[in-house]
Amino acid sequence: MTDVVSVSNLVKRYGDLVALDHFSLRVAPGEILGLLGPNGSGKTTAINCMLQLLTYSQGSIELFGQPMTPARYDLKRKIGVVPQQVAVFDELTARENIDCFCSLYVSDRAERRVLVDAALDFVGLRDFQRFRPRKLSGGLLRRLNIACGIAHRPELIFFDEPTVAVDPQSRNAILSGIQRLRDEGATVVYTSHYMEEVEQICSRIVIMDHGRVLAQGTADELKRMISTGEKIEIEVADLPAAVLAALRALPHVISAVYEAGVLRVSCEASQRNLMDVLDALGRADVAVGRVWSEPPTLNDVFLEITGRELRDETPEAGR
Amino acid sequence: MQVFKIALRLVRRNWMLFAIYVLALSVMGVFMATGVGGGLAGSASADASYEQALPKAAVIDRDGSAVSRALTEYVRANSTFVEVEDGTFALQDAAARDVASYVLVIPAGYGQGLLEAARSGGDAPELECIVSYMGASGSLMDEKVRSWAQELYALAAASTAPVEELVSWVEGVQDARVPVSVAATEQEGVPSAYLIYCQFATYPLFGGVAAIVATGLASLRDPDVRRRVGASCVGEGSFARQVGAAIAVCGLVVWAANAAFGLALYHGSLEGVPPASVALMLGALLALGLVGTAFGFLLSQLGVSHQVAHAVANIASMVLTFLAGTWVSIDQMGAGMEALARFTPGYWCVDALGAVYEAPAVTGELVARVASDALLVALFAAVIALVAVVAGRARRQRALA
Repeated sequence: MTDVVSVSNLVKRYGDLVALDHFSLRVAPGEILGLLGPNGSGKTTAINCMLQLLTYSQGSIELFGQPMTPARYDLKRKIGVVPQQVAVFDELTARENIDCFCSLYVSDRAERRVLVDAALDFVGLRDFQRFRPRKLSGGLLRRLNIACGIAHRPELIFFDEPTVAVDPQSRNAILSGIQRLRDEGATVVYTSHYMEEVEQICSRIVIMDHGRVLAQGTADELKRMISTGEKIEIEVADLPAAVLAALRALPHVISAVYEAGVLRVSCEASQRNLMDVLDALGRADVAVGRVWSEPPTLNDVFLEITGRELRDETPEAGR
Repeated sequence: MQVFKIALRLVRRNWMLFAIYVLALSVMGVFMATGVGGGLAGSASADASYEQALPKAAVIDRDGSAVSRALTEYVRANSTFVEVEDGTFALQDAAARDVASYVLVIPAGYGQGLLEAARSGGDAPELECIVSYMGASGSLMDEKVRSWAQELYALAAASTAPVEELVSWVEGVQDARVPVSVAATEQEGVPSAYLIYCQFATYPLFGGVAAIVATGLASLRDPDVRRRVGASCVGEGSFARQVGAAIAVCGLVVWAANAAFGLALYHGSLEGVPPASVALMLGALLALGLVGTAFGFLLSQLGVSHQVAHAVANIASMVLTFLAGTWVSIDQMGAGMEALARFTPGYWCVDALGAVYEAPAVTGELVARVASDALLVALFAAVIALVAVVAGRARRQRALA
């Protein structure tokens, strides 16, 4: 089956800054592809190039198997965009906003009325359809932003960080909505620097930084690419240096750090990691408090690939 | 056409801008016209009677001769006579406070001196006078007095008749006035109040349109909205054309509203005025409305903020209307300022309005002059629109890069 999105060796420069460095991407029909990377990694630039909102120095872009150019309105008709910033008209009501943006694709008023009703229902804004954007909360505003991008029932939808500064309840509503769009047949390209939500909804993930694709695959495939297989955290009141050295010498242990009363041990994938660590502490008569064990996250993947944290800024309130 | 409809919908939602820039400024124009050019009622020229306006005048007779007494009587008969004390301060104060528009001081020995000068061919003695600066009526009275004295001088030079007889001859000559009445004409001129209303309309038609367009369509310039529209089926060229069309409609609506307001208010005083005269004035204003529309398009293409759009539109309007001679007559500004004003569209628009006002009838020459003025104004609009297109294109190129 033809890929909905096919980008090859895209290069975009802003003066000396290389925003996209031979960026390549393929998105299959019906897929939710997550573009994961820190702020400034090139996610939005990549989307803008795909939408022909930016020129690029090199590379090719095909959408729906056709070369994409600024004048390919037949292809643009099948695309929906939900920009990072809320892009609506403050003067118009929620319904009028959806109708306006839908009218850029659908000229028939009767047909549009049905689509606008469906979009209002989809994002749960029916009760707020006569409200102007200023009267809507941050979460409702984000939902309106989404409704404006999907009302014309596009086959390919670009979501550019749609959950930034959104409360958890609205965030969950947005994420489940995106999954419903996929279930209804849409293909979704979803950008975020929040690994949890990418992991939650995306069937495939592309990790990028400095305009380059660092790794791609499913969440499990990405996690298997790195050496860390398990992370163990144990509350320990006092840990002698000899015991810490003994822990580091255990098989499968990659690193062990004791800091502020918490012992953090990174291990390769193994069935017995937690048992081995607790045994070693028991043999040294070290009193143990609470214990956590978890598989690696996408942040660990990013950390191991780039040497730095994925989330390089303070998380938003409410997340 | 979707962007065009959206643009009009957005402007419609900013109805407060219309209320302020069109209605409020039009009402202000009415106030100005009422204050300077008279009320809204029908033309006063319907009344055929004529009454001469009389200045307030006083005479200080230091001579006491038959000549000075006769001259005093002449002034009394041709003015609203007031009494003023004979003192330096009192005389200056009377003129400064406009107690009298004209104070004639007849020096001692004036009557005798005038007759002797006339009969010997010498220079007549001088009359002293103080003329108020608050109007021209004092100067006109002075002209009459000097004319009276010259008549007496001429009669005395030609005759040896006694002074009483000479004075009576002068009075006879002065009384032989041409009767004045108001002649009804087939068509009446444009009332000055309507002219002033139209002159002041340059403000809403330039600044008002610019502010309405630049502010009302600000949402369409929002980068994220543009991104959303840019990703849709609407091309950049089509977007610009549709926004331009919406802006043109705004300009037309403002012009029509201002014109309708003026016609509704002044229809009484415009009765009898040839419709062609009014049409010519409205045509000149339409040309200026195009300039305002183009200026609003430029502000829109430059992507200025709400605040900057309002500030620039108002400041530019003040400069434009000032240089057009709306606030102070351009004749009183000096040659340099007038030369500068010629490089502004308001000057040519007001020039066209003035030409219609001054013309006794609508002639081919008048139409040609108004048309050339309007064309010149429209050229300003074309140049500004061209700059706007270039600026918009440059901005889009920068955004794409």
